[in-house]
Formats: sequence, C-alpha cells, structure tokens
Amino acid sequence: MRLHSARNHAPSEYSLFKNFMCCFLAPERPAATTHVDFGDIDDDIVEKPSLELDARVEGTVSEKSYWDRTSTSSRRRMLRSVVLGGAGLAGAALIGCGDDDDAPATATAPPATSPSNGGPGGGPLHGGRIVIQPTGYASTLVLVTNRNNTTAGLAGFTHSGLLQLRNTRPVVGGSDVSVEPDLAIDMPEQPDELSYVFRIHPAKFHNGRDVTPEDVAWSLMRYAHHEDSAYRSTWNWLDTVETPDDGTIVVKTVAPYADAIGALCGYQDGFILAQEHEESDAATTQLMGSGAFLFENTEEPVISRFRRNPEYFRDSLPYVDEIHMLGTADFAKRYADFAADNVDVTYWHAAEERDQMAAARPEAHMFEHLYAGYNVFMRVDQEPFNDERVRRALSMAIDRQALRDATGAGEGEPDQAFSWTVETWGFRKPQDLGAASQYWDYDVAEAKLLMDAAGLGNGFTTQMSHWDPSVIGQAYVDQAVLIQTMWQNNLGIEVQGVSLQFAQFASGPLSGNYDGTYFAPGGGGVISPAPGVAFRNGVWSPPEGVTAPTPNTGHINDPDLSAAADLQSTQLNLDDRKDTFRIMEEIMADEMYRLTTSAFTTTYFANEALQDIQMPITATNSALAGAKHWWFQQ
Amino acid sequence: MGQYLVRRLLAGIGVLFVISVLIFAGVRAVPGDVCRVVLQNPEVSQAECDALNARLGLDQPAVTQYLVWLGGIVRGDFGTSLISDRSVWDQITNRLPVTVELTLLSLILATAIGLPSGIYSALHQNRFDDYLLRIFMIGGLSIPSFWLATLLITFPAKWWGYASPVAYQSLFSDPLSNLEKMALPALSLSLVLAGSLARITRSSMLEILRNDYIRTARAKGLDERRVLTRHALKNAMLPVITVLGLQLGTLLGGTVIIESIFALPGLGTLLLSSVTFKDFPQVQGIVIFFAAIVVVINILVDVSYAWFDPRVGYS
Repeated sequence: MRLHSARNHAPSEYSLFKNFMCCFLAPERPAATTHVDFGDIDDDIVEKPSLELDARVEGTVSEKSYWDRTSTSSRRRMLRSVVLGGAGLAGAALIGCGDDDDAPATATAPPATSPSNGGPGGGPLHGGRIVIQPTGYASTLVLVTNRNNTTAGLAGFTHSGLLQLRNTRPVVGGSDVSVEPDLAIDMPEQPDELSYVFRIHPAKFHNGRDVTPEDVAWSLMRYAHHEDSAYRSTWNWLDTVETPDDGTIVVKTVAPYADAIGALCGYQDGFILAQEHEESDAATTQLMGSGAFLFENTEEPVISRFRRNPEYFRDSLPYVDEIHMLGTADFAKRYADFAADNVDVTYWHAAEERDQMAAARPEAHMFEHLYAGYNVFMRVDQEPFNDERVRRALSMAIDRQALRDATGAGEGEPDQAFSWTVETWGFRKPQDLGAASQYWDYDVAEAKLLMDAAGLGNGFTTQMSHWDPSVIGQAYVDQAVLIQTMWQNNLGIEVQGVSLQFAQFASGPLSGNYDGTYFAPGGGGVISPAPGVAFRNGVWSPPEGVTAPTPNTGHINDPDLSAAADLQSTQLNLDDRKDTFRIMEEIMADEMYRLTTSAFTTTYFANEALQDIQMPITATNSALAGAKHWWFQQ
Repeated sequence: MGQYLVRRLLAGIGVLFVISVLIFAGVRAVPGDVCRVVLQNPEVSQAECDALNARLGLDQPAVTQYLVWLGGIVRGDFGTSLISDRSVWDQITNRLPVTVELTLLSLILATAIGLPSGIYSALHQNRFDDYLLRIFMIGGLSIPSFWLATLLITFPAKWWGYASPVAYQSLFSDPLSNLEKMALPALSLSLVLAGSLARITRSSMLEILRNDYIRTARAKGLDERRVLTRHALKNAMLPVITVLGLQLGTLLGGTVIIESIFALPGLGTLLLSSVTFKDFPQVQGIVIFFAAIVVVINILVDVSYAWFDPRVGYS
C-alpha cells in the first residue's frame, strides 16, 4: 500500500510498494513466540506455551519427473502425523500470563497523511461532509438476517464493535487486518484459551439508552445462534457470552479458535445492536447503534446519509459533520463526480480508470493495492481435472503476462491460491513456493508433455462459467475468454464459455453446482481479520468427499489439506499458524487445485484535503472504522 | 363511448393478467437461488437455506406462490421485498415521483424538440435546412440513449470539470438542484423520441399540406400561420399522438438504464437492482405497475383520438 499524491505516481514508487510487501511476507520468524499476535494489541494479552508445529520441511516435489508423479510428497505425510499431535497439543495447551515483548508481526507505520495539527489549537479541524463512492450499494439495512458487505460498510458508521480494524488510518499498512479496541476499553484478557474478557466504555445508543454488557451478549449471540441469522455458519465457534458485572463481558468459544479476536471486530458482522431496535419494524429502514454517526436516511440504491453523533462516547470524535455514501454503478458518472469535486473518496479503479482519475485530480491522495487474483476453479473430483498433470498443464498453458497486458495495463504479479496480498497471514509469492513455482511459468511445450502423459494429447471439451460483465467488470470477463482461447490454441481444449448473472452464479458455481470449470475471485475470505473459516471450508472435505452445495467448490478431497485446514483454526500462535498456512499453500501449489492468475492493481482516491485517511484493501467489503478520525484540512 | 371504455378496461385487465403470469414465471425461470443471494455466504448450509426459503414462503408450490401474490395485488398488497424486508408498494410509491418526473421531462423535451423540427422540416421540404434537420432526426433515432448519456456525463467533466449534483432533491424542496440533476438524463432519454416525433410529424404534415382543403384555406386568403395551426397541424396530430402513446412505454423502459447511469433513485434503478438480487416480489410488483401505466396510457391515447378527429367514433 502506498499513499501519495497522484501527481507523483511513478514506476519507482510502484517498485517501492512491491519491496514493502516483500519485507512483510518473505522472512520466516522463529516459531517461538507465545502470544496471540494481532499486531500492536499488546494490552493485557496473555501468553501460552508454544504449540510447536515442526512442519517446515523443505522441498515439495519428488525426484521423479513431475508429469509422471501422482503420489503426495513426503512433507505431506509428515504433516499428517504432525497434525494429529498438534491438534492434541492445542487442546491441552493453556494460555498463561506474560509480558508483551514480542514485536508485532503485522503492524507497520507508513507515513501519515499529515500531522494532526490543522485546527487553531493544533488539533484536527471539525466540520465538513465526506462524500464516498464505494463499489456497491446496500440493498438492505437488515444486519443479522441478511448478509451484505455494503450494509456492513454503512453499519460501520452507525454501530460500534468491541474491536475494529486499524487499517483505515495510516498507522498500519492498508492490507494489514489487525484490530484495535473500539467499544472495548482494551484488547481482551485471555485467562484460558477458550475465554476472552472485555471491558467496555460507557456509551449510549442513538436512542439515548446506555449500552450494557447484556447488549453485547445479546448481539453476539444473535449473530451466532438466532434461527434466522445469516451468520450462523461463520459464528459456530461461539459458545456463550457471560456478563459477570456491569462493565465486563466474557466471550467463550466452543474450542480453541484462532480467529476469535478477529471475529469479534465490527468488520462485516460483530456489531453491537440494540434489541429494541432490531426487533422493531424500524430495523428495515434505519440503522441504529452506538457508533460515531447517526443514520439520517437512504435512497436505495443511490445515497445513504449520516450525520455526526454528538453523544459519541469518544470525546471530540467524529471530526466531520456528515458522511454521504453513494451507490453509483456507472463508471462515467463515478469519474465525472470525482473529477468535478462532487465526491471525496472513490474506490476500486483499474489501471486505465486510475490514469483518467489521476489526470482529472492530480493532487488527490491515491492508494494502490495489489488485490488477489482470479482463479480457475475445477471439479477436481471429475475427469479430467482429477489428474494433477492436467491441472498443471492447464496452468502452464496460461500466459499470465499476456493476461495482465490485455486487461491490466501490464501491472500486477502472479498470484497463488491463498493470496499473499494480505500481509497479516504471511503468504508467499508463487516464485517462493519451491519446485511448484514452475507451474506458474508459461511453458506450452511442458504443458503438452503433461497432457500427453495424461492421455489427453488431443485435448478435451469442457466449460467455463463466469459472471457477466455487470458484476465485476469487463476486464474479468476478458481474462476468462483469453484463458479459454489460450487453452484452445495451446492444448486443443474446447471450452464453452457460460456467462451467468449474479444470482445464477451464487447458486451455481459458487455453491459447487457446476461441471468443468469456473472463473472467479477466490481471495475474498482471505481479506478478513478472521479468515480461518474461509480458508478451511474452501478446501476441506470429509473422507467421502463433498456434495453441493459446498464452499469447497473445487470438490477437493485431500486428507492432508483438510487436516491442515482444521489445524490452523485452532492455532492461537500466529507463527505456528503461518507455518500451517505455508503447508496449505504448498499443497495447493503442488496439486494446482486452483489455477490462480495474477494479483492486479486496484486504486482508491481521496480528496487531498482529507487528513489521517488511508483507504485499505478491506474498504470494498467492510466497515470504514477510521472514518470518525478523518478530517478536512480546510 | 362508455361501452368502449369498459371493453378496453376489460381487455387491459386481461393484458395485465397475462403479464403477471409471464413475469411471475420469467423471474423464476432464471436459474439462481434467493438464499445464496440473501445470505451471500459460501459457508451456508442447505438446512439454513431451507429455513430461509420457508420464512420467505419460497418453499410453497409455484402455483400457490402465484395465487398468494396475485391475491395480494388485487387487494393492493404488493408484498415485501425479499432482500430489504420493506413493503414493495412503499418502495414503488417512494420512487415513483422520480420516474414520473424524468418521463414527463423527457416527453416535454422530446415534444419541444421533435414537433417544431418536424413542422419546420415539412415546410422547408428538400431544402438545405430540411436535410440538416433530417440528419439530426436520424442521429437522434440511431444513437443509443445509454451511450449518449455516457457522453453527456463524461465530456462536461473532462472539459469543464462539471458534473450534475450527486444527490437527488425533489422538485418541491429544491427546484433548481432538481432540474440540474434531471436535465441531462431527460435530454439523453428524449432525443430518441424527439427524432421519432420529428420524422412522423414531418411526413404527416407533408401529407396534410397536400390536401385540397389546405389549398382552399390558402385560396380564401387565410394567413399561413392560421392555415398551419388550425387546419394542418391539428389533423396531422393523430399519428403523432399514436407515436407518443406508444413511445411512452419505451420511455419508461429507458428509465431503467438512464436512472442507473445518472444514479437517480427512481423505479428503474430499483427494478435493475431487484433483478440482480432476484428479489421476486419487487421485480413482479414494479413490472406489473409499469404494465398498468402503459395500458392506461394506451387507453387514454385511444380516447383522445376523438378530440383530435371528430370523425372517430367509439361504437
């Protein structure tokens, strides 16, 4: 992530950005740290004995030529035993109290936009209206029984979470998903590995009622256990929430859960709700919480308006008087509104759009991120995709540079199945994945040899489903079509493209209901403070295999991968967990269960007068927690 | 006249019934599970989907769902949005003013551009200005309104850094801001209709101007303005009115795209988002509402013939 004036956009800075990312992702840390590591959250964090996962075994490919190899690697056999032992150890280990000497693995401090000294007294200035143009609109204001990331974006203004993401201010990197206290006074104490103890600030809901620990308990339990909750499957880790006294909340998990702290962040869910509002008809037409902004009105799907909450529990916040969230879908209109200074913040612009926007407002802040690449998902339980030689051949028949040239102005880098673009989880680039890195090379001759070895030298017929361009744009569709053409030209594979609407795609390929292949983003679950469920369910299978509907849309049935996917969710030590992630990404790379194209550049712009702002990679699908800290210099 | 109206109304109800069946079946024929859209979560289990479908009534047989919905429509209950949990009728009435205003403004603009152009062109047949106007008419007909809309947004922003206000203000709360917001959408929507109107007006006028009674009117010394307005124009209006009535449906359809491009909170934008999210009740409610408007307008157009031409009877 970088922050600078658009006028200064230059290749050298882009290189700096890449180096910045590498610094976070490349180094391996010793697995001796003993606390749950979420960046700077050093207050009251308690420690536990290290859960050693001695799985760092180099080399993933046997000496036999790779197109003849069908067996799994020795590393994976080792994993199986490690997983069994590790899981048992995790169940037995307790977290003890200790110091907080360890340097945070995720926190960084890129330069702030400006010092907070714009006001007469040296502090930030109050006043003004921020007009934000996100990528979508909230089709509903219902928070628990409906699931909509853009609604969560709005709720981030009106609601508090116990915790919040830090990355909407320039105190950490824009792709850092570490959290900090929001309604909670501190980060939680952890007396044992199943309990998280919070104390909360005195605060009021927008209807004037005090926020109580019972409200927190009711809210979290509603997400987890209400019969109509749209979040039940992702909150099944929550056991109970106790309120031993007026200011304390004890969250208990069913089992050791690595993502508990991240999941308690007001991100897409986890907002503190007022029962009387949620159970009234007003819940469908208004948002009401204890957040920094009061909901004013919405004209779906065009605009939602918010104004400053004068009773907000943090004195002097928020700085701006109003926030307007737009829902404009048309790029020409989005461009015009930003060029004409009608909009202060605008999201998610591809390379060509970025250049137009930057030319229109060269002084604007510009934030660039490499976003997780699109993937070809295959039915790996069906022929011919159940043969890893075919999968590897398909990957090697994709010219990723040509895709980038055609659809992203040549920008971006090869990406892997577990995206490395989010720095918190320590994922690596494809070239760092050992022998498997060769499958990212565009090598038609090798691909043909692999196909011959699989007995498919004359190709085969299959289909590739993808969204229509209205969902995430034409560049994505162009990539799908280009891949089909490359396979046809290089390997003689006849691919029928199937363009689907949003709803068709949701209940078809995205639920595992398809034949052949489909093309889609696959990193959404990664860009989260609580990615474990998505990491696990996307690849996990019972021994007998998965049946649709399933989040394991590739129908992968790999015992080693499933075991690692289970293990990572229980590892409270971040370094241990990173080790497991590395095993998972090596298996995915070696087996080519997904063919990932390239991480691509996406750009966010903000009014140059806005201070202490950072647009993070999570802005497209979550609350903008830091908006209450943003202020106008003039 | 009364019998004619009753017959037309009954036929209109029949049309609406057929449309209700088509739209009900159509939105369900498109593959896609509402549950996956509402819950937007690949982790969701089939049991959770089944529970949601039961709560939304989507587990009932299609015929039952249709009859429940139709019964509601007859009683004035358009149902509840599957996505937002709000009343569909409230959603429609909240957004209707925007769409009505956009349609009326487009109609007024189209008439203001198309009628004079057609008349002028007819009066200057085969002269340079006639050719020039006809080129513009063909241009108006040929340019897709969504493309014109994109140009009308992009070039003012690029050249002058101008964009219309981002938020919509109602005509009564802030007339100037409202008209500024609506001007470009209305213009882009009206040009197609203006081209069509100009061409039909021109040909109709040319035909009328060649009639004997026009020659007689001129021969008896009436001034040209009186000949045109009292004798030619009124008689030339019949086909123009027909086109206007028919094009109103096209205009309403055009609002779906134009409202989305210009971010107007009207029925068109709502319909598009409802289709995207498979919000059955909302799609059905809006389409049947649009259909009812078109049916009523067509009846009004037919009735208006008698005013323009007393020879038209309704027996």
